[in-house]
Amino acid sequence: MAQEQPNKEQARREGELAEFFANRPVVDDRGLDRSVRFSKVLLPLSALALLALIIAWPFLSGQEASVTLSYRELEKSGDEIRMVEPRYLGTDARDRRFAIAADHAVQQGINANAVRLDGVRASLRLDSGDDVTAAAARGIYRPEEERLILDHGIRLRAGGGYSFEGERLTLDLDRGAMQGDGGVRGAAPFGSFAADRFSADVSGSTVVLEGKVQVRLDPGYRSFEDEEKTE
Amino acid sequence: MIARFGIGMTAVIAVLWAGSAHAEDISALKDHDFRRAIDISADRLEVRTEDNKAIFEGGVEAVQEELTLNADRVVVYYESARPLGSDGGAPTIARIDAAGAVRLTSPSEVVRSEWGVYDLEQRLITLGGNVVLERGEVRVEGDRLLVDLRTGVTRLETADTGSEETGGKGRVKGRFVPAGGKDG
Repeated sequence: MAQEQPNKEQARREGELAEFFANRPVVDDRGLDRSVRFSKVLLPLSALALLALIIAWPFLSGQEASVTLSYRELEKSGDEIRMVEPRYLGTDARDRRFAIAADHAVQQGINANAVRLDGVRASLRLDSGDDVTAAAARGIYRPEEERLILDHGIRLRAGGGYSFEGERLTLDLDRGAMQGDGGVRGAAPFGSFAADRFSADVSGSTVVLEGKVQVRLDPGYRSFEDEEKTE
Repeated sequence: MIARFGIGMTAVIAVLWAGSAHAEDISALKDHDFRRAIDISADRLEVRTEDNKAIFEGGVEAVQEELTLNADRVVVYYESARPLGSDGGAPTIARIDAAGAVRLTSPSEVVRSEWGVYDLEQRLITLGGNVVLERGEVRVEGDRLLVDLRTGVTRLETADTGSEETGGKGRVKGRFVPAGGKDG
């Protein structure tokens, strides 16, 4: 990742980008408060909430977060603005570091109603020191609709054996809600799940799976079994 | 040949098959390993993390080894866990509730009822509401059925009718069909 050299041109570009990101939606602090309930994350489904959380983090964090945007290159041809390797780094209100990066971010004009993203990656460092990471091959951010749509090969990993894979995920940043279709599946230390569709709020307090729901749950009494039994 | 009998008691009634304790009294669920993974399929699942429960709806089937539970609706209650990312963050399932067209199937019996509770901590399954138990050639009806997963002992209870007389509500009804002279 190349270090950018500050110069006048750079400052001008950053001004443009700052304007763009200044338009990002902000939810109130209650939303933020609800979204930090990691300690409440208990079922594998909640991994979904994490995915939404780290991607939506800068939006949810609003002014409380400190963020910096950097990129390797900014190309302009006609109306098209193309950022190469944009990185959006920051810490949230609880001093946890997050990063969102993409291979490219492309938009048509500074006030475009869609920003196309390739190779989206996001990570958030939890208080435990573990990283939660998410990736998607493609994404589209629609500022006016306050929607972020991720598709193709969405993957999430978190410490402790949490994982999630999905095909398409729509984040409604205004409502703090997300939904996915085209098949979802995931795993956690205590089980795994698969379904056709899911929906959740970003706080993770409610997660719904629909269509051919298959869940495997470990009742959580393994330690006894290990002591008493060998197979 | 079909025999019918009715027993009314104010408290618990233990049902003994063919008049004495046989292996048939004991469910195949004796020593059922409640720690095994549970596979649940359904049309819909809603997880409410703040209430520590997972609600399965629509053609629910939960399978744990030789135990199968079918119902319209199943709620899994779990104990809270340590924060994500720390060791041993997995929750513990405390109890599983079933409601609506409940059917419990094991190698030794099929039980139908209106509701059911699988208490993992107590290793006890309770089925209630128009309970019909079929075990081999035996069919018994009652209000409440308890299956002890340690001992395999199955106990059919009736509601307290306030009467010690036979008959009336809440009596246990059993129908025995001789199983080819197996038990004499």
